[in-house]
Amino acid sequence: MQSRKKGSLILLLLPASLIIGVIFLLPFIFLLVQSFWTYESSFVSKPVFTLANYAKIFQDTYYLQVYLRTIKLSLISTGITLLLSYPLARFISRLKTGLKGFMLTLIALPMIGGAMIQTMGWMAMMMRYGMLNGILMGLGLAKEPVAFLGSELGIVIGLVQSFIPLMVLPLVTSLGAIDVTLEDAAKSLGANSLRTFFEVVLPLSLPGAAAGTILTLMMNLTMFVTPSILGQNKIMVFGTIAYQQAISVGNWPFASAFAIFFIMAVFIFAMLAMKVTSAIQKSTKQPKAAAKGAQA
Amino acid sequence: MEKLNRILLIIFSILILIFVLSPIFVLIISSFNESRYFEFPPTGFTFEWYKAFYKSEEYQKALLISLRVALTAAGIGLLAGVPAAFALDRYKFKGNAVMQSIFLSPLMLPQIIWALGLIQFFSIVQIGGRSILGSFAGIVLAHSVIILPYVIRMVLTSLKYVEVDLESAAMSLGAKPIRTFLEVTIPIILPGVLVSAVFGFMVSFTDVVVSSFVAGTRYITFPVRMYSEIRTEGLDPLAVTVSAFVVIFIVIIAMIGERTAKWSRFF
Amino acid sequence: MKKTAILLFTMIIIASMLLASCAPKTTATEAAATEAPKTEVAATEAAGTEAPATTDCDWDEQTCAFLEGKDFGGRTLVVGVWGGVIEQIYRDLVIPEIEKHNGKVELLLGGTGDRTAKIYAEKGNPTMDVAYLNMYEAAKGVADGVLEAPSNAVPAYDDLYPAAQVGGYGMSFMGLGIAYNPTYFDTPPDWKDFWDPKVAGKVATATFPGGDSEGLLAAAGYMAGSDENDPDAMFTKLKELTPFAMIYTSLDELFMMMDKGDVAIAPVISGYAWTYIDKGMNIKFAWPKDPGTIQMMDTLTIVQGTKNQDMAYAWAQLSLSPKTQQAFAEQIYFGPTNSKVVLTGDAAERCVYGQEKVDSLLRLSTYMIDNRDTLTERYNREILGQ
Repeated sequence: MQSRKKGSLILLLLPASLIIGVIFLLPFIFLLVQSFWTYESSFVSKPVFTLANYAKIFQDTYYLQVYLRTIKLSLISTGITLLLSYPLARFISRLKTGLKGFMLTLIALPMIGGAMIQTMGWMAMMMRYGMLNGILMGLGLAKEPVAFLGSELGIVIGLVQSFIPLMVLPLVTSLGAIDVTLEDAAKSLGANSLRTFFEVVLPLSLPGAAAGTILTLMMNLTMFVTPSILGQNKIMVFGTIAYQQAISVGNWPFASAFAIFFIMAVFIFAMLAMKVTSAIQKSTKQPKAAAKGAQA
Repeated sequence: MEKLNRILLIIFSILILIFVLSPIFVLIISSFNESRYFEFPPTGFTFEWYKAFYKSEEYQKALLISLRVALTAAGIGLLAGVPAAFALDRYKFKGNAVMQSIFLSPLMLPQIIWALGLIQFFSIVQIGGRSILGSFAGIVLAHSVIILPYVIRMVLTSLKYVEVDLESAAMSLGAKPIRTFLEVTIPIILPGVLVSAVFGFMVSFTDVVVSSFVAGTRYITFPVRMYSEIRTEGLDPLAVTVSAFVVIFIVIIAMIGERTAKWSRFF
Repeated sequence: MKKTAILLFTMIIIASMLLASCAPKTTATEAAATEAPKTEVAATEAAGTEAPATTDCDWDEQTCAFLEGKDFGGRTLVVGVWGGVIEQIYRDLVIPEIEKHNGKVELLLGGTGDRTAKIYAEKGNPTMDVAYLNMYEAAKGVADGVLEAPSNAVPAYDDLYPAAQVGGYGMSFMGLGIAYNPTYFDTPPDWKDFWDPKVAGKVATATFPGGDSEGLLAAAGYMAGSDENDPDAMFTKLKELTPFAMIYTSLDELFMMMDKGDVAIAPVISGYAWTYIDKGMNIKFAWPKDPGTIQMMDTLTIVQGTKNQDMAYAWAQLSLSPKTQQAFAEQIYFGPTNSKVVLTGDAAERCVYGQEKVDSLLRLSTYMIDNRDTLTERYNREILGQ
């Protein structure tokens, strides 16, 4: 019986493991190997061991700057996404079931529609004589057309819009799980709504916020379509440099090394984030207990 | 005071909602705009671009390829994902958590980096003397990887709704595990499985990053076609119209999904 | 009620999944099955009514002779080419002729960068048969063994100007010149006028790496008193133009901004500008003289190891034939590489046409393509300033 159970377990897991193992994890090994190869000329490299590709990342401050810019833009976008998502998630979490589902479906549309469709919409809006500038100038908010395309501003706007769904969905889940009576209790004890929010709602929704933030940050760090099209190849970030090096220049070994280095950095970052999250989760238990006490 | 807060919250939420949906609105509006330069305000109303789309074999072909790729990949995603999710939920074994995070890792690890490696990997794997890079099999396999985590996550969520008691009750009444699975478990998790299939389909249907790397020459999907079009020819009204068409399709699917299966509970 | 809805939903999904794996294939074979007899009928009809099959060939003698009796057996030729008007001419002229010989053509549209990457990635096992590249990329591909060297296996090869016989099969001669908004310049500007203070902040260029932006970089080298082999001189001089008003990826955008005066001057390949000028936009095109208009050439290349070599040769013959070359010259002002083409009027004026005009162009060294990696790095850092 035990071995039969084991057999069926392996059988159930096999197809998914094969797909993930072979198609997903194996290519990373290829990347790792190639990152030590020697570049000869455009699209031509030979399997001779070298550390030059990694050395280049550190010798040339340019690439470190690209990393820093990528991280900066990601942090800014993630921060704004979080700020905008909170009220919206709170609003949605309090709706009746039917309306709530409808709103969640609406919010999820950009996520389902994919990056290309969002970016095309933004491009049409952000053009020099496009809709955004038309509105800004019509309202007298700008005298000259604002150059959204090819600017960091344009990229951040595009990123925030694309990833609000990723943030809102987990937030709604954790906000929805908060017992309404808990808030009422806090209020009946004389706390105003602002204080209730900061002392009861916010701590309890932190796990959802953390999950959303990590996911959004990861997506932002590896942005590609948005900076490539809204940044018009002027604002170079990790994704666009990797593409440029691999596809336009044909320096595969360096593109690989650049990617491996980046994934290491992201990995370390993710580990830290997990630590912080679990610390938050531990600390949220306290206010819960406190609130329960208040309720009693 | 309390009321003011609520009103402010509602206004703010509506503004954010408009912001989030604005690219979609603009695409739909632009697809009826007469001018080919996206000047604002729109110069006139026209169906011209839809007519052009109706005539454009190129775009229709790209859409058909996307459809084929997405449906096949979603099928593979289901076949591999549902059993895996079931195993992860029902069997307590060592390394369960590790397995789970490995299966979900395509959601977290950067797709563009994976795609760089995938090109090199695919270019040496051969089926029948032809490299898998740029083949239908290649692109479908790549897409099944990005679909799989969604399927596993959503099916895991829906398995939580199944009471294990119900299953053991069925079994104690003499039902074999297989029958229990087919007659008790499957009907309950069906909505979740369906939603994950639709979701996986959408993820594949709209993917640019992975497809643009592994597409090869024969299977240019619709978003890749758009991407190269925009990069080389600029924003073209026909491309916008095709996208608007796809958006409308997605909105309809989303609304059906919500009405029939309450799919938002699986997000 | 809800259950039936879910059931319906399920059935639709399952049905469509089944369809996905079978339907397109069956329709494809059906289409092939219905099409194939048709072409046979057409062929027998042609053979029956008019004895020699060559009579329905409306191409030049050389091309007709080369294509006579060819049957591609329903195979598909994959051609990587630019979209837009270029694509349209091939669809109108060349593809129907291949179809007459029982072949199919699939066009893969996009830029040369994507094509080059694919050709190298699929080395030895190509899915693309014919690719259009720029002259430098083509020559490098031949040297690296991923592209076939040109030869008179394609008969029209012998009629090409010598400049079009290197690297691949030269398809169109063009020159990198200057598109400008005439409100800023009374007389046609030259390269030096990019640095004119009155257009400061209104200069545009294209994405780097790429022919247009590499050309402007070379011109900067000459303006600094050196040439295209001197990166320090080139970058120092080009840096004076930054920040650029725009880095264009599409000509639609560029010419819209130029029309409105947001961009005054930009390096543009001859041929491309005329279409917009004829639309009535406030744009003109100049052929710079000091040190000259930079030679550009769209090059047709045949991928090494193609399984459709015979079709690729036929495609090349049709593309290089006077008829197609004439169409390119007259419709979009791309200079003919086939010396048998005779142009008059507007086309002769606007194209890079004839030995003399070809010789007058400035031919750059291969320094740019050989050092694409280091130049791109410097460009990112020093010109984009990022």
